This record gives sequence, structure tokens and C-alpha cells, in this order.
Amino acid sequence: MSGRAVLRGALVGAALALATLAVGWWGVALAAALWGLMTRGASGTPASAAVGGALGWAALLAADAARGPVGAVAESLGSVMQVPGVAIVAATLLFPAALAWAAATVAGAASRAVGGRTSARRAGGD
Amino acid sequence: MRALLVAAAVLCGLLYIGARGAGPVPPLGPLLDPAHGVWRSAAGSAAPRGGEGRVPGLGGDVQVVYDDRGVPHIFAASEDDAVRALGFVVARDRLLQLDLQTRAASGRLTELAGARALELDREPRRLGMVRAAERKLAALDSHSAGARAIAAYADGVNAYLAAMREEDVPLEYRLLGARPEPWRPINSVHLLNRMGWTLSYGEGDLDRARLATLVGDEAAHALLPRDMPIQAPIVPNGAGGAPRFEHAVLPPPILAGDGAPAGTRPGNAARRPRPESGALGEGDALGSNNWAVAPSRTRAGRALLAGDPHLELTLPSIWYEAHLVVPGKLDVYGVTIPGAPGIVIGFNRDVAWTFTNSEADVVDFYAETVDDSARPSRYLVDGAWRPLERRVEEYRGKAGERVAVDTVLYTHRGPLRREGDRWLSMRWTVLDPSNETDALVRAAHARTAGEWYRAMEGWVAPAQNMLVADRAGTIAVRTVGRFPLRAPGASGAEIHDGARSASDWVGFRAAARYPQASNPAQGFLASANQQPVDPRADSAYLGASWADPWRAIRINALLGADSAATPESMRRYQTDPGSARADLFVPAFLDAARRIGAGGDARLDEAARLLGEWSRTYTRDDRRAVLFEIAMRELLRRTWDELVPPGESGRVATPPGAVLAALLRDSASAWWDDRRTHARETRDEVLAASLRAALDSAERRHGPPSADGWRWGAVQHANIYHLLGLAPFSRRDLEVQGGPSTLNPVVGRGTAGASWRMVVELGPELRAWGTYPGGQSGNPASPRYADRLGRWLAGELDSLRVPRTPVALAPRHRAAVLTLRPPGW
Repeated sequence: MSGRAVLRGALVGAALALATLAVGWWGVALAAALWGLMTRGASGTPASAAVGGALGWAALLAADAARGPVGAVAESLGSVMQVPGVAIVAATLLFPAALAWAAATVAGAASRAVGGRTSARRAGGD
Repeated sequence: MRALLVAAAVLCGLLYIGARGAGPVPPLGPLLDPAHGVWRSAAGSAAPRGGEGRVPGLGGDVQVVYDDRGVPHIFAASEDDAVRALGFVVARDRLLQLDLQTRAASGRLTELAGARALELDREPRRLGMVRAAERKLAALDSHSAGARAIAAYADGVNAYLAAMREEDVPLEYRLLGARPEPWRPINSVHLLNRMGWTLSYGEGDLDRARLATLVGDEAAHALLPRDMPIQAPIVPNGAGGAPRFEHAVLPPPILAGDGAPAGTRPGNAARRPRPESGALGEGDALGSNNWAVAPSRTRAGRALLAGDPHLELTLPSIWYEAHLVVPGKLDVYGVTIPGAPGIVIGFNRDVAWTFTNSEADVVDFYAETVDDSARPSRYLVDGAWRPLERRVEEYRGKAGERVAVDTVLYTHRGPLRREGDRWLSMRWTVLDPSNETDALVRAAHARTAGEWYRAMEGWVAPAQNMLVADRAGTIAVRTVGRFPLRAPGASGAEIHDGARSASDWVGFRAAARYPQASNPAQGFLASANQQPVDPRADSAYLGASWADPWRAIRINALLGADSAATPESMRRYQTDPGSARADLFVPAFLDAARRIGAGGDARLDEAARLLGEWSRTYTRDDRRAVLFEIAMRELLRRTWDELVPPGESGRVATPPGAVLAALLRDSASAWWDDRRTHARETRDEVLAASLRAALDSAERRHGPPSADGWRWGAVQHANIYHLLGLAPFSRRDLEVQGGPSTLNPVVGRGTAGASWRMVVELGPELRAWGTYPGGQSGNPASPRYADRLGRWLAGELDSLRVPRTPVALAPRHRAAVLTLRPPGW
């Protein structure tokens, strides 16, 4: 992955973290979809959204860890759900990654389709 | 295209699981969201923290100094402000518990947990507790100290809720997908009602009626007697604390086909008995100890008081420790129950107090004559029909949807219910108007034992044996509550005829006639849920479901032998491993084995040899207590086989151990006969067979006697479950010193026990010690969630810090300072 891609992932991550802070977990889907629309599903958009989703939530998790025993919470929750605590941490990173990837992919495709039809209409009108 | 379809499916799936969850998986989005979800609990779990908070209604600043045990010391300018702050700090540490306990008491758990909690919710509503709470609150004098405290407490809890940060929402709410709701003053009333339910609701009358259908009236009343055959009463009877044996011959059972007279012929018990669990020890560990020693019998020449209420053990604990100071007016320390606007058990600078449950009979059942056995609308009293009051109880689910609707009927006595083919109504003091909070608040100001009892005169339920010691050296005990008087000739230990108004209660016992004693010649007072007064001294009916006297006998023996008691000896006694029950039954087993085994029975000889080695103490490393406990279980099974209805595997009720002990005197009683055999057994044969069977059973389950499997700590445990039963937040299989009927009881599943231990020495300078199994925080991720458990298990107590001012708490013991201010200051 190029430095530019990493930078793009970090920027997307920051945006997704801000969206989460602002509106909650579904802010990830919303912001990633916006990202997909903006880039019209350009190559690499879903991947950068996925990386951004994981990075964004990882940053928020790090902020939580700075304020209290995240490990104890992971262990507690893991034992309630009968999985290792680390699986809860992994799920916390994978969930926004998958959500952002899917939202960016779908939005990008929708954007292309709408854009394609608009272009076709324009071409027909011309 | 395929990638798009996959992405769309993933998006839909994640949005659905994120919002709604799937099966056992809770909604993942709000749960895992690191900005608002479960991870924020990490920050909330760091304990305790200082800062500032705003509490509407405060008259001035309140300083809350947390000590290094997580105890808040609240310094306020007025009592209302102190209670507001108490509500705030309790909500901060125990929010889920506050909510859950009152929802349970008010039959509203379905709103948190859905329809699966319906049966739990039905019980308090069918018992009339919700209706009673509404009536109690409406009847409160709003100017009374109790009503003011209830309102101030609600202010404090709601101020915390309003200011609560996201990370402070308890983790369990996130798992439940719920949020805490605003606190209503009635919740405090619900909570006290729930205590009344736990401690004073008993179906002894119904158990007796069920027994009567199996063995006849006379035997049923003898099996569950109003006067215990072994007396070690709370009010000293002149025996110096030694037990008095009152042996009467147990009437033989009248079984089906015995030609019983009409009216006593056994029939079908209305309820199915619970099957035998196989657990060790009879009954449960709900019960308590307290004792006080006069200055003349203490090394320091100061009164000592010790108490350890035995209740359901949960995490977080039922108790929360706090200290409230209003300079010149109030300085009270102790434990409160989250939701109760004051200290329940504790002390001030002059007086210390603690409770045990009285077991008095404060509930009666009435067989009602109704107009329609299927759908009654009226009931008969003195030949006239009266309308039944109907109350509709609605149960709501998580989203506010209707889960169920019940109609509860009421007579003038109380709620009506169907029991077998009868309609029974109930009169219960817990349902009567009362203001226990007022009593608690006022008692906290007492300067002497006498003042303390005067403050408690308004206490109705649950009836308690209230033990007090004061700085002047007085020790006293009084059974306090509202005790019904029945019509002449009626005892309360039976189901009454509801068609006669003469069956109704005719009044309540006057306070002067409550069981009570102060500064007795023996120099100490003790209560352990036993019959409070020797019937030779006062034969008036007070109840008929007393706890076995074993703990009382043991306490009396320990205190009687200690003429220079110290706080350290008080602490040691609270986990004393000795057992008066074992002291009585072991010799009976050994004597029987000697007599029966004389003909040569190697197995019995071996069992007797092993039991004879036993020190009769339940230490963790003891390897013989298990044999005794299994032998006792076998003995009960063989002796009380008549109490198992045909086709069932459990007894409808188990007589107290003292009744069985009294039966030992009658070697040829018909009760010894085991109906399952053709032969007619004698006492010695049953005792010997029980001991022999115990050895077989112990070896089968725990290996050879020399093996670690016989170690008491490996056999019997304490189990402390999280309030929601979540295993990871529970602490299980805890090895404890103690067993059935010891002062630190561990019985059956081990889910009840000493919920708070306290020792207070009342001298010129107060000294106190205490602990409970758990910690101040209800947050499972907090270091204060179960930090006291280790010392509790070891029987150790913490020294309690009781500063007079905020600065009097040494900096090294100060963990954080929270300042609460009125809004806008």
C-alpha cells in the first residue's frame, strides 16, 4: 500500500471517527457512503473506507484505553458472550471496517449507475 | 456486479445486526461503538473520582470525600442535602442495582428483560405489593422526616442521571439494550416493601395445612410448632444462655387408611412439593446474627456490638457503605440498601444498632366463600355478600408493548388468590400504611438506646430483632414491628374462616409487650432468628416459624465463656466454625452405631469411626463434616418420609431440626418407621442406616475418606451471583469457613450468607470494623467491584474510618473529593 493510500485511509478514518462521535455507530455507514459517492466508486475507495473504519474506531478505542481499563471491559464482555476478550476487540475493528467497505462499495456503484444514466440521457439529448 | 451484490448483502446484514442484534447477539452497533458503547465503561470503571456535580434542590455545597475503601463521607449543611448527596453517590456507584431492585419489587422487570421475566413480575403484583406501595406513598405526611428524605433522595438520583456521562451508563444496560429511567420517590417504598417480602412473608400456615392433609392436624401442628422444643430465647430466661429442652412426645402421623377422624383425614396437598435437591444442610442461610456485650464483660470496659445479617449474596452486594455528617445535627455511618434514603444498619457517635429478622407471624390467610368459584365477584362475610375490589395489572415489554394483563382481586383483608380448590385472601402487615424511612432517619439521631427505640416505634415491617448498644454502656434488644392480635382462641398458625368477621385481626400488640431486654444479668444479649421469648415467660402467640436455635446456642456458649470480650474476639466469633447442631446429633449417631453395630457391621463401624474423629467444626480443611451432613440428609429422608406425598419426591415441608432433635428422645416413635420398608424401624436403626448410607454416598461422590474430595472447602461453597446472573460477573465456588447452622452459614447452593459484618466499640472515641462480600462499585470492570471479597472470605474486617470533618480524613486515606453544588452556583 502506498503512502498516499495510507494517508487517504487515515483521513477517511478521521472522518469516520468524527461521524461516529457525532451521530453514533451508523455514522460509519453514512460517512463511508458519502465517501463512495464523492469518489464515484473509484478504484481503492472501498479499501480505503475499510481501513478508515478500522483506524477510526481504533483511535476512539485508544482514547477509551487512555481513560480506563479497556482490557477488563474486553474480558468481561468476552466472557459474557463466551468468546475471548481479544475477539471483542477484533470485532470492534472489523465491524466498522466491513460496514464502511460495504457502504462505500454500494454508494460508489449507485453513484456510477446514476452518473451513467445521466450521461446517457445527456448523450441522448444531445 | 457480484461484488456489488456481496457488498449490498453485507451492508444490509451489518445494519440489521448493528441495530437489532441476532439471537443471543445484542445489537452490535451501539454495543461496540467506542464513542458511546460498552468501551466507555472503561472510563466509568475507574474509581472513585472527584470533581463537581450539580444537584437541584441543594441548599449549599456538599463535600463528598471518598476514602481508600471507596466509602463516601458526605459533609452537608442540612440533612436534606446529605440525603440528596447520598442519592447521587449511590446512583453513581450502583445505578443498575437501584433500577433492577425496584423494578423487581414493582413487577416491572418485563420492561427490561421482556416476557421471560413475566412470572417474576406477577408475584409482587399478586401479593398486592405494588398497590400497597402506592397507598403508602399517598398516605405519607409530606412534612415527615421520612417523606422529606424520600424526596431528597430522588432529587439526588435524578441529578446524577441528568448529568450522567455516556461512559457511566452501566455495562449491563448496554447488554440489555436498555437505559436507566428517572427515579421516582415511590421506588424507595417499593424497595422497603421488597425487604418486607424477603424477610416477613411466609407461608408457614399453608405448609401446616398441607402437612395436615398428609399426617393429620395434630401431627402437623407438632411438626411445625409455635414453641420450639429447644429454647435459647433472645430475652434471657435466667438460664445464663444455656438452652432449655422442652420435650413433648410427637403425635404419630395419621396416614391414609389409618381410620382418621373426619376433618383430619389426609387428602391431596394443593401444591406440588419441590423435589429434593441433594444439597447439604436444611433450609437456607437467610437469617442473621447479632449480639452485644455489656462493659462488665469486655476487656476495655466498653459496650461492644456485633452484627451480621444473612441475606442473598449478590454482586454488587445488597449493601452500600456510607457516612453522613451534618455538623451539630447528624453523624451516622453504616450500610444502606441502594434505594433506601438513609443508613439501615450502623452507628453514630453514641449508639450502634443492627438487626436480625424476627420470624414473627405477620401474615394470615383466610379461606373465603365466593359467589362463583371460577370467576368470583363477591365474597361472604357474616352472611352478607361484599364486592371484591378489582385491580388490573398490566405488564409492558421493552418497547412498551403489552406483554400480559392480570386482574387481581382484593377483599377487605388483602389480595385474593386461588390455592387448590380454595380461594384464600391474605392480611399482611407489609401491605399496611407505614413510614419505616421516618423511623430510620429519626433513629440516626439517637443519643441513647432508649431514644433509639422511641424513634423506632413507628416501624411496621419487616419486624426485626433490633439490637442496640450505647456509649453509656447500655445494651438492649427489642423485637420491633407490628404484631397482629387475633381473636381469642385464634393463633395465627392456621388458615382462618374468611366468612366470619370475627376471624379478622382485632388490633396490634402494644410496644410495651414487644419481646425486649436490656442490661441483663448475664452481661450479653444475642439474637439469631430464634423464638424471642421463652413461652414459660410469655405464652402469647407471636409466631410459629422460628429458626432453629443452633446459632443462638453457639453464640450464647461463646459469649458465656468470654468474660473479657474484645473487638477481635467478636470478629472471630462471626466466622466461628463450631456447630450446636453437630454437638447434638453426632453423639446420637455414634450411640446408635454402637448399639446397632454391636452385632458386627464393619461398614457401620467404619462410618462411626470416621464420624467420631470429627472435631465438629466446619473449617475449610476439615474432612469429616461432609460425612455428617450427608448422614443428616439421609436421616431427614428416612424420618420424614411421611411428609412426601404419594408420587412425589420432595417433602411438602421439613420440620425444624429442633423437632428432629426432640424426637431423638423417643426411640420407638412411629415417625422412625420408614414406610418404604416392610419392617418397622426404630430410632437407632434409622440413625445407623443413615450413617452407613452416608459413608457409601460420600465415597461414591467424593472418593475415599483420605482423599481431598472430602475436604469441606472442596464440597461446600459460597456462590455469589451477579444481579443478572451473568457468570463472568459472578464469583463462584468460594471456599468459606462455616457450614449449615454455624454462625457463618453456608447451606445448599451457598447463595446466601453474611451480607455485612460489623463490630462496634462504643467508647469515648468510637471504633468500628466491617466488611461485606463485594465492593462499593456495581461496575464489573471496576477495581472496586469485588475488592472486599478476599477479606470477607478470610473472616477479616476492615477498620472503618469515621472522620468528623473532611480534613480529619488523613490524606493517605483520601481517594477523591467530589463537590456537589446547586445549579447555577
